Amino acid sequence: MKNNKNKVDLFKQYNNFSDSFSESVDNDNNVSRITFYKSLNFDFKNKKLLDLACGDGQDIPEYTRRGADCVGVDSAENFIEVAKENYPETEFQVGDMTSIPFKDETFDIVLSKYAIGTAENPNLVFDEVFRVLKKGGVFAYLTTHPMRLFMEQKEKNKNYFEQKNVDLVVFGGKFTIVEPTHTFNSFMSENFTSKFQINYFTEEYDPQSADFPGRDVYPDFFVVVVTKR
Amino acid sequence: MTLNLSKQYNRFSDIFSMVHDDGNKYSNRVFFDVLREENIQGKKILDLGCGNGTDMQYYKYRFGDNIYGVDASEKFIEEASAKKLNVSIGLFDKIPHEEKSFDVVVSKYALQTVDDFKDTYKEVSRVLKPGGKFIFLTVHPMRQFFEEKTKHKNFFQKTIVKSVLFGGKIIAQEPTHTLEEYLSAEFFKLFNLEKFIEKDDFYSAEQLNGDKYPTYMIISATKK
Repeated sequence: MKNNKNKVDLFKQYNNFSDSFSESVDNDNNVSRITFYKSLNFDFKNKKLLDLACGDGQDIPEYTRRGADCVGVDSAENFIEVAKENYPETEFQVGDMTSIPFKDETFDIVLSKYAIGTAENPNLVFDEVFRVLKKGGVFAYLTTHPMRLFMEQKEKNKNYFEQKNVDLVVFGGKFTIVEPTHTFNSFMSENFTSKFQINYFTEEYDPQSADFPGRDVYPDFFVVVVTKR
Repeated sequence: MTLNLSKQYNRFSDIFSMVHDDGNKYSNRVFFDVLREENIQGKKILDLGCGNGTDMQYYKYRFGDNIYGVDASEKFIEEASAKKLNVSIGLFDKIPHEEKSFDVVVSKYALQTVDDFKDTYKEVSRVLKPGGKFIFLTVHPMRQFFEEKTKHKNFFQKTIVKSVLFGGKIIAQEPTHTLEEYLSAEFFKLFNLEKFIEKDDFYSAEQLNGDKYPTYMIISATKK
């Protein structure tokens, strides 16, 4: 992969602004949050749920309210500290998406919002989710749309098929985060479709996630809901 | 709208036949490779949007004699009939065949002419046997978005876009689609997605802004 000097930093970058990030997410992240919650059209009652890359745990109240027994995992230690303070009843652990600190077939539900795209190879995450999920278990994720990753590369002669790191302005310019570009194909490879049965797909424009007055309207994120085969 | 767009090829069926083979040579190769991987030898196959039957001749040579075609353009069907192919005039949302009559439905560069896929998906599912395959190649939504060429484009707003094909030899008009329209709730209700492939073929499509982006996609699915 090109222009990628500091690999680990993509996962850990949130450590640098975890405090102000938490505030902004609460205020500004509504379109993606509403769309994601609406997509979670299945039973949570007494289900063992993993929130993968849970951040400061902002989604835990919703998942708990729906009746799930939640566990949160994030690679940023600062986030996990805050999450533990905010939700003392819930179990949180520091861990990477590509090496989830749980045994095989532990969870009924795995959810992940705006995180899987930070992995250069999403299949490494999908393989781990497949491992910790029970057979027939549900996996739903929301991630940055490949079209946005392509559109927001500033240079000429862009290549959709070539992976590189791109700066994404989020929350109306409050932060810039770095994400590797992805093709849609890398999320929908045969590795993925052979492991999971896709039940739902949606893509949305999120006017709050970026601030480019007069820009074209294209999807900023997509959501996929699948069951483990 | 569906009808008119499907029939537009009547106007340039002659020149189309000449440039089509050569112009699609890269995407053809990828699509035919996908079909060969599926082991559909000897199966009963429907080519939806068969045009003048060029692909059907290839399918006959590869997969046996049980090949049928449907197209909305009378001129194409005339041409295909002259090649002694089993073809009939019909629309995608009204396929002139009995239910559960095919093992495989294939469709190449045709689905994008349809306004709303809901009825097409239902029809394809209807004519497929249980466990039958639906394998189609269509214009990538990103390509349609760039082909709008206007400022303040909206990916989610349906418009008719002019596609310059085969180095300007043909200009086709097609409704724009989002990815979600293809991978809709209706689709997942009827089909199990097995393969998704997106690639570029700027030999047949116009390359805009000097960028490299997907111009077509292939979806391979099984009837639920």
